[in-house]
Amino acid sequence: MDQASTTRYPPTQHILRDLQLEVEHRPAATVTARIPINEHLTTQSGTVHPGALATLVDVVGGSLAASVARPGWIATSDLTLHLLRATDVKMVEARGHVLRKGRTTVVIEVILSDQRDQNLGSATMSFAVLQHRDDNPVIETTDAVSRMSLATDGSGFDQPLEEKTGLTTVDAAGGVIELPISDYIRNSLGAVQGGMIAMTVSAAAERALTGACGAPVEAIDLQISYLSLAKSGPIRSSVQILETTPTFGCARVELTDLGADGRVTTLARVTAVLPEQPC
Amino acid sequence: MLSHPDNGRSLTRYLGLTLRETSEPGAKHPTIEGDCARLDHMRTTNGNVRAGALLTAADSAAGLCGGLAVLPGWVVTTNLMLHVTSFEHVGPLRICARVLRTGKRAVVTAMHIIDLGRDNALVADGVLTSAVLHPEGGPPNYPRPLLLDAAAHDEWAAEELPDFLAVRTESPSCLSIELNDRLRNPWGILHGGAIAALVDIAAEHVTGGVTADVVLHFLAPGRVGPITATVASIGARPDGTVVRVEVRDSGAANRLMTIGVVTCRR
Repeated sequence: MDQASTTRYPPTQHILRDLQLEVEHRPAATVTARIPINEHLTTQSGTVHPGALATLVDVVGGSLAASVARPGWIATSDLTLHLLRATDVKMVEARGHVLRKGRTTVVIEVILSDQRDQNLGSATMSFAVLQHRDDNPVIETTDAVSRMSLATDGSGFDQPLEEKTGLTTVDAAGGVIELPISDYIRNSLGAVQGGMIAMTVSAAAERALTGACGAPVEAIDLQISYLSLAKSGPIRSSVQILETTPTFGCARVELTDLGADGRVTTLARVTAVLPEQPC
Repeated sequence: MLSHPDNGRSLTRYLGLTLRETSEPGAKHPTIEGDCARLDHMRTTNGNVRAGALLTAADSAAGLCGGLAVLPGWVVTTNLMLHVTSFEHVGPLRICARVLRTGKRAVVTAMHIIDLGRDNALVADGVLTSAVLHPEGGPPNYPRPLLLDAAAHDEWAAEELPDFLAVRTESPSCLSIELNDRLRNPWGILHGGAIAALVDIAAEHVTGGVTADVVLHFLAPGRVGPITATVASIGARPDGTVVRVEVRDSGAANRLMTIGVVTCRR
C-alpha cells in the first residue's frame, strides 16, 4: 500500500518523524509499526511513556481504518490503552487488525510488544466513517506489502517527550496542565494528534493522582472519548479524582480548547499505579 | 422490533430499574436518571452489586439518553466503558446519564452511578458511545417526558444474575448462555446488558477476582445463540488482572459479537 498523503503530511518537524516511525502495510488489512525507544521516551520508572505508545497506536489504527473506510474518511471516536509494565524496552512494535468494518464505524485492535516479543499491552480504537472531502488525504492501496519510514536525517528526541511538545504544568495537585498547539503535533486534519491528546490526559491524571495517592504514580490505563477536534489551543486539563488506594488511583480528565471558547474536546479516564508495586 | 411494548424490557425489569427523563423534552443534551432499589439478587457473595448489573443499568440509562438526543432516529450501543470505584453498595443506586455530544453518526453519553444509601458515594463512572440509526418502524414510541417505571416484582426477577442468564461452564476459560426471549432487547437481538453481564461473569470466573473496569466494543448483534464468552489473559498489574473476552454467536457461524477488556481486582 502506498500512502500518497505522506508527501504532504507529516511536515519535516513533527512528532511522528521524531518517533522515527516505521510502518508496514499488508494487503490483508493489517498494519505493523515500530518505534525505537530511548531515555527521552520513558517514564521515571523506565517504562515507555504512554503518550509515545498512544501515538504509535493512533498511527496504526488511523492508517488501518482509513484504508478500509475508503472512499470515505474517518474521525477517531475513542481510544483505549491497557498497558503492562515493562522496563528495558528498546523497541516497540504495534500490530493492528480490523475487528469491525461497518457502514458507519470501524473498530481496530492493536497489540503492543517489545524487542523480546514481550507483551506490553493492547489497545482498541473506534472510528466514525465520514464522507470523503476534497481536503482529506488520498489513500491509495495496492496488493503488495509496503514499508515506509517517517524518520529523517536528524530526527529523534533530544529532550523528554513532554518537554519537547511544550506541555506545561499549571497546578500539579489539581492536574491542570496546558499543551500549546503547533504544527509539530497536528494531524492531517489540522487538529492535535490523538496520541498527543492521550499524552496530555495521562500527564494530567498522573500529576493529580500523585498528589492524591501521596507518591508518584504512572498511567497504565487510558480510556479516551474524543468529542471535538482541538485546533486552536492551548489545551487545558481539569481532573476529578474517582478513586485512590495505597497502590493505584483512577481519575476522570476533561480537556478544553481555550482558543475555541473553552470547548470540551476530550473526556477520559486514567488509572495510574505506584511503579514499585509488585503485580 | 418486538410487537408488545414491554417485550425487550425483561432485563430492565430484572434490574428493577425505573428510568425518567430529567431534561426538557427536545433538549439538545438530554439527561436521564434511573433508580435501582432492589439489589440483593444482583450481589456477589462478597456483598457488592455485580459489575454486570451496573453495566446493564448504565447501558439502559445511557442508551435511552442517547436515543432521545437523535429522535426521530434512534441509537445502538457500539462502545461501553465503565470503571467501578467502590465495592461497598448499600442502595438504592442511582444512574445519572447525560449526552455529551450528538453527531450525525454517533452520540457520546457520560454516566455515573451513585449510592443513595451511602451519602451519594460514587459507585461507577463511564461513557457509552452509540451509532445513530433510522429504524424502519421508527423509534420506540415513549410518552414524554419519558418515564419507564419498574414493573411489579416478578418471581423470575429474584434469581441471581448468573441463574437469570442461565450461564453454563463450557471450559475453564469459556462460559455460554442460550439466547432466550427475556434476554432480547426491543429490537429482538441479545441485549447489550446481557452481553456485558456475561463478560463480567466470565472474567470473574477465570480470574477469581472482582470486575473493576470494563471496556466493551459491540461489533455485531447476537441473534441465534448459544452465545459464548472466552477469556484470555493479557497480564497481571498492581491494580489487578487484565483479560480479553471474546463473545461469539455460535449459532451464527461463530460470529464475533463483542470484544471486552476487563480488569479484575484480586
